[in-house]
Amino acid sequence: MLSRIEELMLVSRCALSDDRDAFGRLVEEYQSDIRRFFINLTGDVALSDDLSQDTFIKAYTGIRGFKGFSRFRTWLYRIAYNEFYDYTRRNKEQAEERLPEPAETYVGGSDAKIDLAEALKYLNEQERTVVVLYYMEDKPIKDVAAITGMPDGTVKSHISRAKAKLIKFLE
Amino acid sequence: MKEHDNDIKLRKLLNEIKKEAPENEWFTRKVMNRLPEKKSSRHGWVMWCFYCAALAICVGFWSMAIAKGDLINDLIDAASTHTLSQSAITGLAAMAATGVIVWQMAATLLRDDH
Repeated sequence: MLSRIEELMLVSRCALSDDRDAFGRLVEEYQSDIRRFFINLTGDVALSDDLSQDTFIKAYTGIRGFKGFSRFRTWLYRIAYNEFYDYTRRNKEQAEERLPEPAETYVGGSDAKIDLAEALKYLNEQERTVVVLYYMEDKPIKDVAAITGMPDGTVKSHISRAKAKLIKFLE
Repeated sequence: MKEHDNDIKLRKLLNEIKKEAPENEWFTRKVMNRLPEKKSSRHGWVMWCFYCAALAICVGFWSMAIAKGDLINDLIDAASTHTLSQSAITGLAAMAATGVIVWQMAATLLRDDH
């Protein structure tokens, strides 16, 4: 894992002298995190790889916009979140067709894990994103807020609502 | 208390269903291949002409100022009297301009090397 200093050195080399070896090192370091984030959001490995590639391309072209106030990982996640959001907006009609109609009464199986994986599909995009970031990626509320661009209070509301929905499915 | 227990239970379950990214040894290569091409150096010589012209003007200014011998005295007077004369301001502005031009040339040189 890169230290903050190493991270800043690599980013500086990319920004100042377009050092592609340095950028390649950053991709190697963070690609599994970003791909995992998309896989848990979309459930589709191929789509996740495409979105991850787009994320890194955007990071490369916008690297001079990285101010260094947060960790580079947090900044990457922010780009990834925006990529996911843009993808869902572009494919909203197809996405709505794919998503199951929320049942009035959910009839779940006896396996809580299967129920939970299914239940995640019933959350809206923002709720699913904060659940993935907070519970699965173990990000603190502050980082979730920085990644999604929402205030801390809004993040907590989304988590609370999502949690209520998920617990209801598990009961 | 129940809320806290639910939170722990939910976190545990979500971490159990969490999927890890499968190994993909080509991922980095694919990203690097998709990066935009490096900026063409076709316009580089034009930029270098501007830089040389700007540097020549600065060198000319400094040469005249040193030959006249006023600049150093103006800056010393400014430091002691804490007031800046017009010639001292001009001298400081010239220093700043020279610094910026040299910095830009160095940055361009470093960028072009890669």
